[in-house]
Amino acid sequence: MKRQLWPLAVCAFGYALVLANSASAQPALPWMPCSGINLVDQAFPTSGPEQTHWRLCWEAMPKNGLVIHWAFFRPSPTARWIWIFWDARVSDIFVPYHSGSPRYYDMSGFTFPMTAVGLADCPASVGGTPLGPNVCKEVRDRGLLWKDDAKVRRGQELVLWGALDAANYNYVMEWTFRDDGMILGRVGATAVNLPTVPFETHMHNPIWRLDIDLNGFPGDSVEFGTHTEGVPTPLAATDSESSIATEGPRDWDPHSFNELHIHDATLQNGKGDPTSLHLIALPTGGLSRHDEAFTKHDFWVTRYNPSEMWASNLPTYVGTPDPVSNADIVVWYKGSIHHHPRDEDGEVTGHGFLGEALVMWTGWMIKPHNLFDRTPFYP
Amino acid sequence: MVRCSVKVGLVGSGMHFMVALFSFIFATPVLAQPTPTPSARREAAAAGRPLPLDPLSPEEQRAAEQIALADPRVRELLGTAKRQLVSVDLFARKPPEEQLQGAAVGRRIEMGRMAEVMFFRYEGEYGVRAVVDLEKKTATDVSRLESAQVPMTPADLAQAWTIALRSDEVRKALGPDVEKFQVGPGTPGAKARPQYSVEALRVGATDEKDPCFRHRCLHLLFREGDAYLMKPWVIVDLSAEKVYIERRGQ
Repeated sequence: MKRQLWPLAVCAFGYALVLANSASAQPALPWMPCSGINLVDQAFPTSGPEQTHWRLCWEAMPKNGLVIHWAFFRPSPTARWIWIFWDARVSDIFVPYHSGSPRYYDMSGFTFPMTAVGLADCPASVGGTPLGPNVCKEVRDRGLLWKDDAKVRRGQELVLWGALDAANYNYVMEWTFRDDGMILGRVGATAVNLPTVPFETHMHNPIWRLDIDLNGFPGDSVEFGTHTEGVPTPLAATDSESSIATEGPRDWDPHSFNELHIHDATLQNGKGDPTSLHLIALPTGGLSRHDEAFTKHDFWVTRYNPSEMWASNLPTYVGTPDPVSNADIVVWYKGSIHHHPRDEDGEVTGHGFLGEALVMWTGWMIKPHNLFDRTPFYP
Repeated sequence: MVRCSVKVGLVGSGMHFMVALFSFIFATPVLAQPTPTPSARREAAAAGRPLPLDPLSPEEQRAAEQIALADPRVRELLGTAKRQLVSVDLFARKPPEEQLQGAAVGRRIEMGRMAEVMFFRYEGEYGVRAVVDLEKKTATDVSRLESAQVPMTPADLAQAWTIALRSDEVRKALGPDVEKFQVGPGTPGAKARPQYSVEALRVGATDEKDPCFRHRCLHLLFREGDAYLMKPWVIVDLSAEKVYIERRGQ
């Protein structure tokens, strides 16, 4: 009987090995340097077999608001995890008033705390889950991912947001990680107009510092994408990429569709096409310029330096420009909210100024290019 | 694909099948379990300790401050003059690339646990920044900061309000309710805003003729319930300990 049993046991052992191997065909989860509520792990779609996956760390910092520390994305269950962010944060929010003063630095000027976030801000009915006292996580439908006549696919997204309590203003900092690998960063200005001059027009200029480490930190390069109409013939158009070799600024022109393209030296998709991330400005109305040198440009590229965190020092950081080709790079983007007060913002009452400016947004998106081999979520 | 072809006698084949099935069921989870690797063992040993980018605990913040203050470079910069602890934040330094790539395939990497400590020295008005390694209990980088790079704090707001209360003009403008105002809610952890609150925004100046040029100035905002008072427009220069009332817009 014993002689008859051992072949069966061998067979069972073989099946067990196959099973163990098939389990390990899915790449190991990346190790993350955070835990508990500060670690967010989100697979898409939220029901059914996984197709894409985000894994990231966040932190609520009193003077920086909601900061993303690490972010990995996996474009399919069998693909390897791709490093996207080392650190992403709003570096400052510069607020000059039209008469020339005041000129506030709403983040670097004061150690403002974050506001409380509760179930009223972050209800479960919209996919919300408060993460601690200051941050909301929303996992939600985001509308159409694609549509082709009768065939259609809706998309989903993970949104983390928290708000800085900058005295009379609240600044909502929102980070969106979509099922197709897209990332959106937005800042929304809301709450009460400056009570001493509630009807004076002003700008809120958030400046983001995005430490993008595509496929790890060395070997990244940035190119400046430009679209030109009428070249080489009047009816033709051309798109070009120029290498950014050393630290410095770049300007965004709405007619040129300027973008920063972040490449890694070796990262390719399954087709062998080089992968890149395109940082695209999403201005609301326009992008401002002021007297301060750091506001004279929209994009900046610097070489990673952990002590270079202040947006207003950007001209100094690039004063002696370091090479940024095939390097560890940081990109910066300045958005603008042109706040022209209106009656909807509030009113003068016997007690003072009362009312709330509705949320006004500005931001950017990072669009993956050749990260997938084919249309994501296509049957 | 594994194919098994086993000749089993008719007698006892049911028992054999059951034995094989049990072997399969019990062997699978055991085999699927990865052998503990050195990194997994390190991870297990580290269990219970905060991970490198977990938020700093209040105990770690206090320890970071003490480590910074024990550093001779920090002590030299701060001297014995009056100082303020401005912030203690988590700090992340990138490890070598080869280690970092390990994280992408699930290996724990050694990043250390670091904090950035910022002080403000009133005499001479400058900041001191120290990056502290909480595990090695040493300060790795120490630098001096310009005053404008050091954010102002609820302690500065409290000081500004004390200075403002010395001004007859401020008292007159706020009327009989002046003593009801309390600083807040800019203090982290403050639960509710008082009915009469004083808040502040830092004032920057680019014109050398502006009294706040290179000075630490706060614009005080006064809130009564949900409404903000539209006047007075009070600017307190903490560097010169002066109070200015702005007339514009009134």
